Amino acid sequence: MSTYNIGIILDLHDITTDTVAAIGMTSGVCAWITGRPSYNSSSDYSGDVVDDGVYTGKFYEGILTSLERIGQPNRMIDITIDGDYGTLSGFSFEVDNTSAFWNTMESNDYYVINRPVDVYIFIDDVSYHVWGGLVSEIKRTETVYTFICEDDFKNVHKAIPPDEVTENNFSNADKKVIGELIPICIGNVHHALCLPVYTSKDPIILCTHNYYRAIAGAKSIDSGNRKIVIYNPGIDFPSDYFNEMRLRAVVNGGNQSIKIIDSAETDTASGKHLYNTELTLENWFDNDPEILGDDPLNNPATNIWYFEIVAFKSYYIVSNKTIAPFSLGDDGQIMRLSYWDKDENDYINATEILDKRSISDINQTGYPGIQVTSKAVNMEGDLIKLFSITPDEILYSFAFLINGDIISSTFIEKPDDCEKLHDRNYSESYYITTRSHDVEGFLGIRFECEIPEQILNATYDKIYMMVDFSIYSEQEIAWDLHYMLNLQDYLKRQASAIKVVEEWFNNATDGLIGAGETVHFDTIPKIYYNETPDDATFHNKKAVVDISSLIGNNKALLAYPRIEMHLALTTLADLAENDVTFTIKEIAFIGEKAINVINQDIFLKLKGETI
Amino acid sequence: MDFDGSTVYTLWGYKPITTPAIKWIKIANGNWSGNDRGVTEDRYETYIVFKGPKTELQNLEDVLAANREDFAITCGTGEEIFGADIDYSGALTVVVVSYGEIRRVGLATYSMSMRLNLPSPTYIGSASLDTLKLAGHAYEGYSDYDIGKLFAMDRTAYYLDGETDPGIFKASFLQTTDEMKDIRRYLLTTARNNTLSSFDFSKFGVSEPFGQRFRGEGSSFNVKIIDWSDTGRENFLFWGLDMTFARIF
Repeated sequence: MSTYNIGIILDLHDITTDTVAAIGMTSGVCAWITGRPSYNSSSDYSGDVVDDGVYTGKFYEGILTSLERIGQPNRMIDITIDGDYGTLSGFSFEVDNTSAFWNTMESNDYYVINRPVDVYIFIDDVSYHVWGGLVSEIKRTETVYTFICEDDFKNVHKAIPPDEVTENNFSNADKKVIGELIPICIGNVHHALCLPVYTSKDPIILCTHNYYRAIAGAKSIDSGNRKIVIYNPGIDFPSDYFNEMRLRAVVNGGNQSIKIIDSAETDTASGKHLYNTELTLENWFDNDPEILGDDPLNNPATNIWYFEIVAFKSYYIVSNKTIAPFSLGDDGQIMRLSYWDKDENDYINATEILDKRSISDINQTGYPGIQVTSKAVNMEGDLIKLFSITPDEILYSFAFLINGDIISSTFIEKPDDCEKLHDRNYSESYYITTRSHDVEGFLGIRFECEIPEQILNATYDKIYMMVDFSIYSEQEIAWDLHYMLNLQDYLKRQASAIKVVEEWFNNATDGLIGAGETVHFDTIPKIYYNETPDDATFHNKKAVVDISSLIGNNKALLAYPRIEMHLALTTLADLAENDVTFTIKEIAFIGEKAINVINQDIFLKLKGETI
Repeated sequence: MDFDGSTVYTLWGYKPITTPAIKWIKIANGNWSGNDRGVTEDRYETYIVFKGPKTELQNLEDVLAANREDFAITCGTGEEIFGADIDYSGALTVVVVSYGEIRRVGLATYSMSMRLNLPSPTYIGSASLDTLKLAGHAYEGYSDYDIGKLFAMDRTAYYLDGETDPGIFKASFLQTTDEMKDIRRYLLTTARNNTLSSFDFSKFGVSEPFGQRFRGEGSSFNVKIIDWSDTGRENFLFWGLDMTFARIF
């Protein structure tokens, strides 16, 4: 024989502390049971047999009306034709109202509508959950208080399974579907709903915008600083976003200095003489830089000078990591120009006067204060730079050189899988240290590899070889860093032997490395911007050597697919063991591509694709 | 019975209809629970039948026509029309709930029925059940063994014990008018929807009111009187009373 009772739990939800035995409630949870399961044991029937662990308190007897007046729910799902939600039937039950159950509920503000109800069948004191829903309506008479419940399927479509499209599980999902439930089909489904949660290959629109040309000038009799303030347009730039602005100070009759300060009044580039010379201001988006011009040095009464924003560009580094799309503003305008009006004693928004004045206005006399003239330049026909990905697989060989001779590899610490050096996320570095009694002279490393086929086949405007490396020295050394690139054939014969380029680069990046210092070399001819590195030793600016000329001049490149690069220090002191350490974090090839952004959309390409 | 202060009408028969203001419900542990609106909402009514010559009933009809709302009556000896526990020593103001047509039931005899309500009764008697006397040897005492049975296709039987097992005891009693006064007072004041603790059924000769082996033998149980009916006079001496006891756990 089995005992059989029905237990019902009504959770008042926001009532968590009240315990009222008269209505069968413990800590805000009403738990009622049919029959008298406590008859042969304790006076209180404990519900600790509820299998889902939701409720372990007391089940009160004598609250529910008869077993026959408790509804019998049923469960239904239709899978014969199409996907469907499972539904539970409605459900109702009654409790004894002869002792004014209703009054207790109402006088204590115990509201039950929309509170969850769970129904359990107890067989031999083991519970089985048979129904769950919400209270939708209540009725009462003198004797009974009726709870009419309905399955919340009827009001709230549950997720089956309850998974949503999130940025975590679909990193490249269309933002329109973020938060949508992942569809599930049950049964014979002819047309299933699909959500755009692509993870690769689909293009993402990068940006479209205009260049602006802005001029701040002064009439001849003016004195004092001239200023252009460039405001951050206020958008939330992604970390891989960079911009670049080229400035020129034009002074009629003499050199003029210009300095750039950011909004924190910190000089970012000061004392630059910019007479008809361009200054490139990079990555100013973090602040709102002010461009200040000093007093004209030569006869301010007759000179006219102005700043000119020669070009402005913004670009996005394409890495081998998926990048989210972004927009630069509703109308494509990316910055606002202001000028200082000494009469107003304030900055005046100059955006609205764009195109209203020309440069020639500056040369006219009689204009009070500083004039700002800007011209919007349509970007059509202009170019925006876009970097390609790094190749997937590059195999390197390394050698350690003293005065050009290969030495023992004793002092080479080579990671097991150093070919991953092309992967910026790779945490291991490649170390090469000096040994004892190395003499003054060239100290260098050489690495060789085959130029990746991806680079050769892509139609890049320029090809760079990027080396992210630093040099550490135990003692102060004077150094002179050199680079050499060779193309070789498969027999490692240098291309120069058959009159193909062999070049040494020396950009005079000489200097001192102090004792115990590490110098990170990011000033070699070109800087490649990468995303924030994991290792603090390395930087997001990485040295890049333009190898376009090598490849461009090598029309028979297939015959000379190997490239050799030398990094060499000319040290001016004897070096002891482990005095100097080369550390190489990343080696990669990068392509640069110019794209007309007006006539075609710009797309970011994902890992493994070429432009 | 005096309806108009002078005429004595022949009361042929009556039956008290007393309705306590209690609504009962059986709850899921087998117990009974009552909602008691209180003694002031108990309803005292009676069903009476007059018989007499045509002129007498015509006079009665004239009285009713002249007193369309309430009026006073005076009950004679033995005319405890609303029950034995009502004080009939003075005039009672009553309201006619309904009355039937005058019928000719004999050569010169006419009959008329009427239902009266007593809005403001005055009670007599002392609440007690000590004098209960069974009307005979018969009574109805049982327990509902709340066990469901399911039979599988292989004939295996499964038993589900709902664990309620309510017990009911029904019996009829014969009581004198004085005894009925006390019993009715007990039912309408002390008992109502309250649990009578350890009520001893042996006082009227019943030892196992809910079954011979029903979870403990004996004659004393906690009970509620969930239904009773004053069936009126059986004869000049005794009143009839039907009662239903429910065991309370």
